[in-house]
Amino acid sequence: MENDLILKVRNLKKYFPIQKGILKRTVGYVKAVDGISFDVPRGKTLGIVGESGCGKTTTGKCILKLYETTGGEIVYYSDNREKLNITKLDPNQTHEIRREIQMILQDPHSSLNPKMSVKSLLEEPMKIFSTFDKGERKEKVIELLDSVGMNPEYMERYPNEMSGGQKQRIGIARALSLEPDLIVCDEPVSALDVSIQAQVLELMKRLQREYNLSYIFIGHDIAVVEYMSDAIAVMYLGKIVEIAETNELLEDPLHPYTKKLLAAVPRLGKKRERVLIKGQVGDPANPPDGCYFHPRCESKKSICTETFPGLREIDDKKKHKVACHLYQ
Amino acid sequence: MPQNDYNSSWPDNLIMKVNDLEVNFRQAGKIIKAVRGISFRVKKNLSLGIVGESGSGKTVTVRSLMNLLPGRGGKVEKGEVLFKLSDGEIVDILKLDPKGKKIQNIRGNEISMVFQQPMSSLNPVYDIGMQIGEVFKFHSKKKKAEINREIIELLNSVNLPKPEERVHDYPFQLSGGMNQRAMIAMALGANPQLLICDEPTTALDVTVQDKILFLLERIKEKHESSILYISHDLAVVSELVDEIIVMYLGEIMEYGNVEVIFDNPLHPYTELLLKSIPELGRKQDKLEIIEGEIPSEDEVIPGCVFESRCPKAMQICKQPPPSIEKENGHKVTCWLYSQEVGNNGK
Repeated sequence: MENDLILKVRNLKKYFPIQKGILKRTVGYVKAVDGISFDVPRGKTLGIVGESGCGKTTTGKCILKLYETTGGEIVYYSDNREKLNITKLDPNQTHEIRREIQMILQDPHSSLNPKMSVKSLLEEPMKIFSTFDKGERKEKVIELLDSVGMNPEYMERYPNEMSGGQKQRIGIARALSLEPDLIVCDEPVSALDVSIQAQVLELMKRLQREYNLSYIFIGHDIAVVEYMSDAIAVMYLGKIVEIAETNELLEDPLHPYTKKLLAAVPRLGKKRERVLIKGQVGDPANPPDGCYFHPRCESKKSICTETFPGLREIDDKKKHKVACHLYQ
Repeated sequence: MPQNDYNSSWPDNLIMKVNDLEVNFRQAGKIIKAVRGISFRVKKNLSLGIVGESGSGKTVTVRSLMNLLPGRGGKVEKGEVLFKLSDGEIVDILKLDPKGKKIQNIRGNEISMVFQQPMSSLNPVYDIGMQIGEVFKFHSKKKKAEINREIIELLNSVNLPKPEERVHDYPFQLSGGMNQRAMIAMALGANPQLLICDEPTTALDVTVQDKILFLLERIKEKHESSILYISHDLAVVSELVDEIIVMYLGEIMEYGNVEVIFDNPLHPYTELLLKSIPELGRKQDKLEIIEGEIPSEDEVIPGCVFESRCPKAMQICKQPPPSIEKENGHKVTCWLYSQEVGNNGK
C-alpha cells in the first residue's frame, strides 16, 4: 500500500526551547508538535484542523523543512518512488525537495513582495532552480496565470494593484511554478472575503485534478476543511486526537474534543444548542498529565489523568483512529 | 427644541431610525462612497445583524451611529440618525457636536460598542479593572469601593473565571476570549440601550466564539437591550439575530427576518452568497461561485452596485434599482421584483 502514499509522517516532534536569563539557559520546552503520525495518499487532501496553538502550522513548516524537527521522521515518496526522509536531508537535498513540496500561505497581502511585479514573483522560483531560459519563463508565467484564471496583462502589475483574491491566486500560481507534487496550504482562504473564498477553493480543487496534486490543508474553519479534504486530522495541544476519512469523522466523531469542536461550529440559519467546552486550552509548555484534554473533558475516567492514550485504530476501512481511553 | 418634530410619528418599539445615510471619504483626490444612502430601524429588545464583505460599509455605518466618523476624511454627506434617549428625548446623533457633552453622554451610557480586536482595543498598560472602572468614573458619581464591587460583578456576569483575581490582570495576561469578555463587560458597564458589536468573534477560535455568542444571547435576554451585530460570517449572524441586513458596496441589498432571508433569499447576491459558503456536513460537490471582484469603492456606479457580478443582470439594472417591500417587512433592492420589469419583460 505504501506505493499510494506521497508522505508518511511518523512520531513527528517539534519542541521549541524556552530560554531565560543572560546565558539563555533552556528552562523548558514548548511542545508545539508532540509525536504525531499520519499518511497523505497521492493526489488526495489531508485536512488538519484545530484551534490556535494546536501545532497545525508548525506541522506544515516541519514538512517543508522550514523547521529542524526534534524527533520522528517524515518520509516523502517522490514521483519515481524514491524514498526521502525529510528530517535527515542535507542542505543540497533540502533545496531540491522544495521543488516538489511547496506552500500556499495564509495572508496574501504580506506573503508577496510589494516591490516585485507579478512576472518577477512568478519567475523567481524558476530562476532559483534555473529550470527554463528567459523566453520559456515568460511563456510559463502566462501559462501559470492562465491556470489560475488570470489575464496575461496582470504580469506587469504589482501586489498593491490587486485585490486579496487576485493576490492569493498569484500565491497559488507561485506555488505551482515548479510543478510540485505536494502543496502545504496554511489557511489559504482565511484572509479572503466570503464571495472570493469559493472562487479560490474551486480553483484549488480544479488544479488538484489537473496536476494530480496532493494537499495538506490546514485550517481553523472546519466547514472549509471538510469541503476540501478526503481525510481530516484533529489536533489538540500538539497531538492528533482523532483522524479519519472526512465523512466518517463528521458523521461519527468519537473523541470528546472532536464532538465539542464540531458542535461549536455555527450553522447557517439554524438555531443550535450551545455545547460549551469548559476551561481554556492548556499550556503547551506545561501540558496536563495523562490525556491533554482531560481537564476539560466531561467523560473522563481516572485513567485519563494518569496516562496519555495512544492513537488507536477503530475502523480499518475508514481509517478511523482516535486517542481516547474511552475507546481503548 | 427641534427634537419635538420627531416625537409625533415615533413608534413605541423603536430606539433608532437611520434615514438615507450617506458617507463619503476623500482620499488622494478621489471620492470613496463608503455608504450610499441607506435607511433602517433598530427595534427595542431585538437584535439586528448587518452582514457584508469587506468594503460593504458595515463598519462605517455603525461608526456613524455613534458619530465617531471624523478622521481620515470621512464625512456624512446626508441623512440622519435619530435616537431615542432613555429619558424619552429624540435626538439626531449626526447633528450633535462630536466632542460635545451630549454625545459623550450617549456613548457608553446609551450606546456602547465592542470591537473586533480585543487585544488592540484594550490599553496594554492598565489592568482591566481600571479600564472597566473608567466607564463608571466617566458616567456616574459612585465611590471607589462601590465601583470596585461593580467591576467584579460585571466580570462575573460575563463568565470570566475568578474575577476577584483577574481584575488586576493586564490584557497580555489574558487570552483573546477573556479579553473580549472584559470588553463586553466594559460595554455593559453603563447598561446601554443599544450594544453594537463589530465582528466581536472574528479573531477568536470556534470554541471560544461559541462562548461569546452564548454570553451575548444571555445579555440579550437579561438586559433587554438591543444588539446590533456586524459580521462577515453569515452563520454566526444567523444564530444570534432576529433581523438581518445584507450589505454590498455601501448599499442594503436585502433586509428581513433571519429565517425568511435564509429560507427564501430574494436578492441574487444573498442567494449566491448563501450557496458559496461551505457548510458543515452538507456534503457539497461544488460551491456556487460569484464571478468577478468587488468593484472599487471609488467607482461611479449609476445603477445596481451588484450588476457587474450578477448572473441575472438585465438592461434595466444600469439604472438605480427600486427598494421593494414583500410580505412581513422583507425588503429587497432589485429590479427583478419590480412591477415595471414584470410588465414590460426584459
